[in-house]
Amino acid sequence: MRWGCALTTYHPASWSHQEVFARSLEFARVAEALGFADVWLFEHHFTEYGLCPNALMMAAYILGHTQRIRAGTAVIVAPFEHPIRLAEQIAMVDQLSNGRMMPGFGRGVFAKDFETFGVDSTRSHAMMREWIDIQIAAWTHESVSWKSDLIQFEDVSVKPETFSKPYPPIYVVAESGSTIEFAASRGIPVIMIIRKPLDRMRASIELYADVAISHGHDPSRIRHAIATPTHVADTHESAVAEIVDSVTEWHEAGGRSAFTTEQLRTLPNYRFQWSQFQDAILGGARSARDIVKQALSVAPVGSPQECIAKIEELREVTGVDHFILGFEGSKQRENIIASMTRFAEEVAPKLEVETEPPGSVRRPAHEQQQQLTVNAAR
Amino acid sequence: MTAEPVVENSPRGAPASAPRRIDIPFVIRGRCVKVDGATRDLPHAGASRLVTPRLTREIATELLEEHSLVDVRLQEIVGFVRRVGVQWANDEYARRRLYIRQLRDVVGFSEQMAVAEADLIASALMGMQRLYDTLEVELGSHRILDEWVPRGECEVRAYPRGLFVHLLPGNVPLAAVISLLRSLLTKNATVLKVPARDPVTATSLALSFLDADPSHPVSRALSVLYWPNDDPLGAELVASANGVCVWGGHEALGWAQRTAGTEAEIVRFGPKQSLSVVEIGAADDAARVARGVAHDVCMYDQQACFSTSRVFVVGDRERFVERLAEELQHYDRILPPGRRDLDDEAHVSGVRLHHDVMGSAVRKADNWTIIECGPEDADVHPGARTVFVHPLRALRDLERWVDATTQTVAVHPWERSAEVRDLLARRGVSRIVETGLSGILRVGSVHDGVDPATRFVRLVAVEAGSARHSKGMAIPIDTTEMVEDRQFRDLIL
Repeated sequence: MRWGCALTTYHPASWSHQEVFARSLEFARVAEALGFADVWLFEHHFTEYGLCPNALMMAAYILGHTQRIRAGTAVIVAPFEHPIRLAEQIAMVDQLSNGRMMPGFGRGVFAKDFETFGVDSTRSHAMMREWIDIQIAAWTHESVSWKSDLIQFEDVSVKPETFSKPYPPIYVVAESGSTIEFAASRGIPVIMIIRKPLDRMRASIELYADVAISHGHDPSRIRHAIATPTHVADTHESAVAEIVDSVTEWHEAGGRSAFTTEQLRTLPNYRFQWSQFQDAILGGARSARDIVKQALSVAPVGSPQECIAKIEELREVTGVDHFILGFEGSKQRENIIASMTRFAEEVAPKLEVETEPPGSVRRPAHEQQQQLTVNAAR
Repeated sequence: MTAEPVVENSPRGAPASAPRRIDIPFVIRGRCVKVDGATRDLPHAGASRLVTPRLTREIATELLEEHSLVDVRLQEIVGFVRRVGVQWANDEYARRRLYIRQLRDVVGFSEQMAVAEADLIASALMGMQRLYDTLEVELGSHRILDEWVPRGECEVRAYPRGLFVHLLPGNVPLAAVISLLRSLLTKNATVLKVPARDPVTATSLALSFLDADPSHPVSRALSVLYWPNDDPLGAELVASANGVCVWGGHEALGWAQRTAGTEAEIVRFGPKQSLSVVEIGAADDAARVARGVAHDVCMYDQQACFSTSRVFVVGDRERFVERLAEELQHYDRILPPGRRDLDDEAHVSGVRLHHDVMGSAVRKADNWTIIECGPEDADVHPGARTVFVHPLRALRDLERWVDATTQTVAVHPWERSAEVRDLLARRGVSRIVETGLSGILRVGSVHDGVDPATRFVRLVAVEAGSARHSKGMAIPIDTTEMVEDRQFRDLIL
């Protein structure tokens, strides 16, 4: 098992902006001390849903204040940046952190962002995919030129080189079938958001595996991740009670900034998100609170025993054993740290924890993967 | 550097020397049973190795437990089915995309055929109006599944039979959808036995129900699994079922007949053939007619029971055949055929050669064949988009060439269908349609001579009490008085 910790930089009314960032750092340090393998930063703009407009910068900040824990982005919204600048900056953070950087990419779902930055939202998926390919090319070649209907440049040599070889481990937040297929074709692990029912995530994993195999990758060697709210308390009822209101507020904040249902209905490349909305309605959800409660019913939220059972079920259904845990649901500093601590002490040990001794430097995952023997039959 | 993928994160697999393994899970009453422990390889002609779990005593016991949807209102069932269909209608749905890939790679469909199949599944599940209308037409009222409905001097209600086991065919994926819907809408606990040739359709369908909600009563009423024909546990399931729906050839029908319990309702959809009859006059648009015929041939690659295998032509046969050749070539582009193995190819080649030697006019391309000959000469049909074209003097002369093994006759011009429908019906034909519409299956149509929904339910009648007069009776019914006074003749008329 591999445990990660999400740092949302959500801004509740009771915290100042400075407190949001100070606590994010504090939570990262607590996570490192407790033996978590990684922390994850999110990019958002113009919204209290997340105060961090630059996940890579935030990752660098966290990495600079820690020794061992790795930092991933979930996500860098790729279409908002030039891919060569991304390649440079990620390589730099990878160097500065001695290989602790894990860049994760997405294509964005917030309307205001696309409007403000002048990016065509109908091409966001194509841009994300191509930007990833460009970065990989830039990190693995002395010089790269590119010509497509999205971007062109000639003879660029990205510096510095990456610390991690051949390059830092990439992730893609992928829930739509086409993005899953893209990631699978490249052998890039995906990050999924926990959903009810869990069987739906199984379909994504199975599609990924089928495509990966057809492209010569061994899916059993590709480690996906699931992001999930997490809260450990004495009982399920108290755990839910402690977080449902603030998680709902957070979800509603996101909803105010995301594409409207009318936009989702008409955007040709957001059909998955549109289907999520349709299914929520057909499944009886009438509010953000309904959707949050559905997610909390399958998330590791509850007593330690319940959290163990939920994670075991997640692993059983999806095969995933890397979890990005969102502990900030209560939006109370002490409560968050207490929940993280209880998880590390009462939940993780029962689930074959993969911990890093403080002070050690972990070999990048892809280096380990390259040494594994691939079974071509599965 | 061109816009092409370069380097991937993970190591590539070594070139495969063994066939690729694909796991086909069971779905047992809302639960996915993964391939683990004791497994079974499906007898499969393709390049992949298909592996399923084994049917165990434990699973069989679970399937035989009392479970139906009798207490679930029809609107709840239809609503949930539609919810599943909405998933399938979205081309970003991971399960749909995986199904298309597997239909292509495992079953051998072309990409276009596989996409068309996924679209058909979506429309079948989403068509709430059609589902209600079908039940209304076949049962007299869709409300009869939920409540007692006045009928004559009674109130009647339709109850599920109980456990219905479906032995699915391997040639038409849509059969799995049709069987599943008929069974679930009539509130039966439903077990689908997947065919070895196509284990992915029914399995993907069932998994999509779990994707929507594995705890929903409809999901929990549905199970999909495989067992070989000689599996005693499988035979036990069939023998214990309240109903068996069997699609297939004579062997499958015979086995089901022998194995099913004496009280079981057996619904049989056996081997059928279908054909078209067209009259091409000077004013007829031969191209349009040929397009319809080409569709009826190519959809499902002539594998379906409603697929046209031969065309009888009255009038300008030459003009029709010219246009048919063009349309078959068009369909080769828009709906390429599925994978054909060496045996299939050899069969087609053999039939072509035979008719060449016999002096028949043979037109051919890579993926289709038109053979003009007398109907008595077309005794061996290789499928694979082979169309026998026969001359016919008049539409009514078709009577001689149809019988009870003929399911669907497609007719052009449609206005002339009334002239031939009685004679065709008397000869055993069960469907008469316009050319191009063989695969549509209209609301109200029949399937091999029956209204299927009626076979999936058990009707119960509550008859009016004695205080209610029958029509024509002026006094309450006292049966003993009637016997004593011999009043039946006078009073019960």
